Order: sequence, then C-alpha cells, then structure tokens
Amino acid sequence: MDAAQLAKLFGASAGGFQANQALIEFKAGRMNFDGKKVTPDKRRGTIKVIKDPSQVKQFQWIEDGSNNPFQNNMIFPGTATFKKVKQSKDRVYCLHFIENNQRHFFWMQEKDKDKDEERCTKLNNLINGIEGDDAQSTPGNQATSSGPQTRAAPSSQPPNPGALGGALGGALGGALGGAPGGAPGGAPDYSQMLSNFLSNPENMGQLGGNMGAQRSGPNLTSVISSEAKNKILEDEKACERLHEHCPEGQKDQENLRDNIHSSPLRHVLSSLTNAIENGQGDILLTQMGIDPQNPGEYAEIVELFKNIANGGSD
Amino acid sequence: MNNWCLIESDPGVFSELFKTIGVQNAQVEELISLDDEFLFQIQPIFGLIFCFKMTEQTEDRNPLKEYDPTLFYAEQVINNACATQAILSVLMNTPEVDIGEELDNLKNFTVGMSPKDIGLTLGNSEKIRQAHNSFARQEPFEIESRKATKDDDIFHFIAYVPHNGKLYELDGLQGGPIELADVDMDAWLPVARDEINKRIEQYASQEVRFNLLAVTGDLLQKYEESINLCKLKISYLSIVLGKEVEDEELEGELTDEQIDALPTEPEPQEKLLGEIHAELNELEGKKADEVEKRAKWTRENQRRKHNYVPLALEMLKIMAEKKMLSNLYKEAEEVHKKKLEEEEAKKDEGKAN
Repeated sequence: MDAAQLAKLFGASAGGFQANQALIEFKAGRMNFDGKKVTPDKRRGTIKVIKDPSQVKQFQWIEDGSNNPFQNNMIFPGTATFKKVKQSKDRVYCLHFIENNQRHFFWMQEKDKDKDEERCTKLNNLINGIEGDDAQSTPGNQATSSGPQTRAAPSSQPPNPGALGGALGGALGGALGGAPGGAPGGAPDYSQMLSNFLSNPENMGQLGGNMGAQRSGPNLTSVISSEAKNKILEDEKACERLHEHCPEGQKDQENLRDNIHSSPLRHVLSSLTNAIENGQGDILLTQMGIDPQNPGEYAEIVELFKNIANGGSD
Repeated sequence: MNNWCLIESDPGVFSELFKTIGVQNAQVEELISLDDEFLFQIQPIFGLIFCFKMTEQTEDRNPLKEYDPTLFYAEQVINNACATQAILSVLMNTPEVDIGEELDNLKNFTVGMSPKDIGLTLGNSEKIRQAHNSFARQEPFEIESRKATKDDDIFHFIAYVPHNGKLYELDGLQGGPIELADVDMDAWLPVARDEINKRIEQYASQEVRFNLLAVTGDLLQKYEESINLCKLKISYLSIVLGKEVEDEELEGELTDEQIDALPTEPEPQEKLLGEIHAELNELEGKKADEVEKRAKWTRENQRRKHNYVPLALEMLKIMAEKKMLSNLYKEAEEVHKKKLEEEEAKKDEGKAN
C-alpha cells in the first residue's frame, strides 16, 4: 500500500505525490529485515525524497520500471536518520525512525562508490530539514547535524514545531471546524506514523494474535462485545450512520448486522488496540477529529484509549 | 519479484480469482466429505487440493525428474501463493477448462522450462499477482512486505490431478511431480481419495489441521443445462401425450439418441413425466442454492476488500454518545479479571497436586 492509498483509507485527499520533483535521487536497493537478520532484495531501484503538496517530505523507494513507490514514508525533521551501517563492510545504509525504533535497510547501487558518503549526508540533511533556505528557520537543526537527538512524540514537543505543529493544527482544525477532509495531507501524516510503528516487525507479533489473555487488561475487541453491537443495531439513527461505512451494495440493515459482526471488523479492532497499546491513541483521536484535551461528548473514548494503553482502569 | 500477500483459502476467493484472471467454466468448492454422494454432487471434478498446516518434518518422496512434457508442474518459489499455485496447477492440466488468455500464454511460454523457471515465471505474472493480492486482508495501516509470522498458520497445498492416464501429486516443494498410479481418466477419483485418506489418517493422528478443496466445473452452468434438458423432455413428452405445453423458450432440442431413449407407450411415458418433474424441482432447488452461495461469496469478497476503520471508529463514537463505553470497559475488565483468577486457580491446583 502506498501513501496515496493510505490517505484514501482515512478519507483524506492525497493526490499528486508522483508529480513532485525529487529533492534527491539515487540508485539503491532495499534489504529485508526480519527483526534479526538483514537480507538484500535483489531488485534494482531508486531512493527519492520529495515534498508533497502539503510540504511534508516523503522518503520513497521505487523499483526500476515502476511508477509507484514500493515504500513511502512521510518524514518530519528530527524523527528519522539515514546513516551508514557501521557493522557492515558493504554499502549498506539504514533509514531509522527514532520514534518507533523502526529500521529500513538499503544498499547503494550507484556506480561511484566514493560518493556514497556524500549522498548519505545529503539525504540525512534533507530529511532533517538541513537544506538551503529552510536551514535557517528550523530550530531543530542544531541537534540534527549528527542525527537528531530529540525523541519526537507526535503529540508532545516535536523538534520542528513548524512542520509538525502546522499539520496537527490543520488536521484538528479541519475535523473540529466541521469541514470534513479539510486538511489534505494533514490526516495521512499521522496514519503514516502509526503505520511506521505497526510495520515494525517487532510489533507485528501482537497484531491480531490472542489478545486478552496475555495483555494486562481488556482490549477493543473485548470491550465492544457482541451484545453492545446488537444494542446499537436497535437504534435506527445510529444504524443509518453506520450504513454508509459498509461496503458498496451492503448499505442496509440486514448487511449491517453481518458487517458489524464480521471477522474483518474484528481484525481492525485488534489492529487499533495494538496501536493504542503502543502509545498511538492520541494520533488515532486526532484521526477521529477528537481533541484529546477537549473531547466534549467523546470523553469516554479518550478514557477508553487511556485505559487500554495503561492496561487497566487504575 | 514482487510481493505476494497471504490470502484466505476460501472457495469464494478462488472462484472470484478465476473470473479476474479470465478462467471460464471452473470454480472451487470446499470438500466437506469424501462420500460418493457428495463427490457426485459437485461433478465434474478436475482436481483435488489437500491443504494442511505445515509441520517441521519433511516428506521423503520420489519426485520424477523426467516426465510427460505436457504435464504442467511448477516449483514453488514464491511465498504466500501456494494455494493459488496449487489451483493453477489443476487448471493448467485440465483441457476441459477454458483457462483464458493470460494462463494460456503462460502455459505456452513455459513449455520446456525447468520447474523452477516455471515457478519464477508464475511469480512474475503481474495479472495473477494483482488478482491474488486484491484479496489480501485489509491492514488499516501500511505493513510492508508482510510475511507469515509465527502467529499465522502456514498452510501447504498439494494438488491431485489426473493427466494422460496417470494420477499425479503436484507439490511445489518436491521439485518434481509425483506419480501415484495409472488411472482411467473417468475413474481417478477413488484412487485419489485413497491417497488423501492415507494423509488424513496420518495428520489426524498428529492433530494437524487440514482442509480439502476441489476444482470443479461451473456448477451453476451444470444445473442450468440439466434444467434445460429436463424441460426439453417434459415438453416432448407432453406433446406426445397430448398435454398442454408451457410456453417457455428452451435452448436447443433433444438429440435423436435422447428421443430414442424415451419410452414409446403412454403409461411409461406418464410415469417418466412425473419423475422428470420431480427431478426438475430438485434441480431448481440446487440452482437456487448455488445462486445464493455465489451472492454470499460476492458479499464476503466485498468485505475482504473493504476498509473497516471508518465503521469501527463510527461505532466507537456512537457508543460514546450513548455513554456505553465506561460500562462496557468495566464489564470487560470484570470478565478479564475473572479469567485471570481462574488461570491463577488452575496453576495453584497444579502445584497442590
């Protein structure tokens, strides 16, 4: 799934990623990381960094002959580094997301080996906002010369308030201001962060697994019981709101019952639980247009997410 | 080679996959029994697929190094696609099935290639890969190069296919086809059933989970053809017996052989007419079941491809508006605590003994 599809998933618009000019571009291949061992993916390809229409930088890997990025990560300054892997004598480099400790490995495929280091530095500077004009105006820069030092939690203090704060404001403004989809580019940023976290192989084991027994508290799947779902089915107005989120051709009462009890929905609930347990609850709330500090009628959701994250109500 | 995702091994998934890659007049059925009666229901059967949870132990078999060049066999070189590959192996070896342009090209292109190269070619078929991946379980968040993890059940698929008078076992991990027996092409099923029963006994004793699929002809088409034939006979017999004929357009007409097989005296004609009416009723019922089954497949496939995040979040919002969530959480916590206590008690019991 690429970023555009991802954005579509959350109902935000994110067109025109491919049309953007690359800020840097060089030949490199990917490597697969199973959590322990890194093995090269033999395909040839290109690493690119572009700026999307919302001025957020995207790190992309595109296979030769393909138009769509195979990998696409949104990057905010101070949240990731691109460095040589010192443990390897080969031309292996690592894109490291600090927030979730997720690593993507690459091998240089340009002919001139000598310039590997130069390309690496340039890319690292780019994704950390150290570039021409931008460099002077980003306070996070001092820290990023040797790779960012700040741990950037999306909802706490980002190293670059300019980019991240702006996107957050946009997403919230759009959602709370009653303008659905009013923040193109804002919403998918957070889902991208979430996805970065969830695509970490170390976190994958918990996904969809036997939650409940091993976790320290209830999860979304156990909280939203079948009885609770059935209760909602009795409310005609509530059902109407849910119909529109059902698949095409299944937007009626009979199908709603099946959809609400379906295994894909259960799967989504356990994925969401996983995200909340791993500290992504605030991002999710923002996705839902809920301000964690001022949730209004949705206070119960904020409370629920907090309880799930803490593994209990105490 | 690009990624192949894990997909559900479900008859509905494979039957829609057929449509997408252009395979006509074939579908996949789950075998709920190996009884003659059930097998007869889903005739024509072109091949059987035995699917079982992978075990550590390797099988010591004797795959053929040289074999009938018209037999299609591909080594399994792509992950996560073994079910699709097993099913394609049946289709590729079944002349009765119209496999469509894509598979036809692939089949012609791979003639004379090594099983490994055929496997690679299969893995590189963009159309098949895309069709396959369109059934990938929707992950709400991007998870790249999703590989089967320990939590996933890794299943292996073996195809049983009759081809040119021999029954073969096609297992992509064996490196070559395995010849099981000489068979009559219209009587291979019992032989395959014996082979499969051997496996079932073996795995059942080890508590290994398994499942059986059949690649069959288009059953809806089969019922429609049978219904048409019944109606043609009814129409013919009614005319001969001087009865009123329903005004319905039927396809084709009875052949001379079919007419010759019908009785010539009024009494047996009447009797047969009654029997055919009963048969027609039964067939209409089966056709209706098949239509309903397909509608169910379509609905389930739509659900597989649907993004449920918005539905889940809207549901949460509604529950919050109704002030249900706090209580629901407390209830879930109670249940959870009870469960933990029970587990604790069990442990203590274990210690006491």
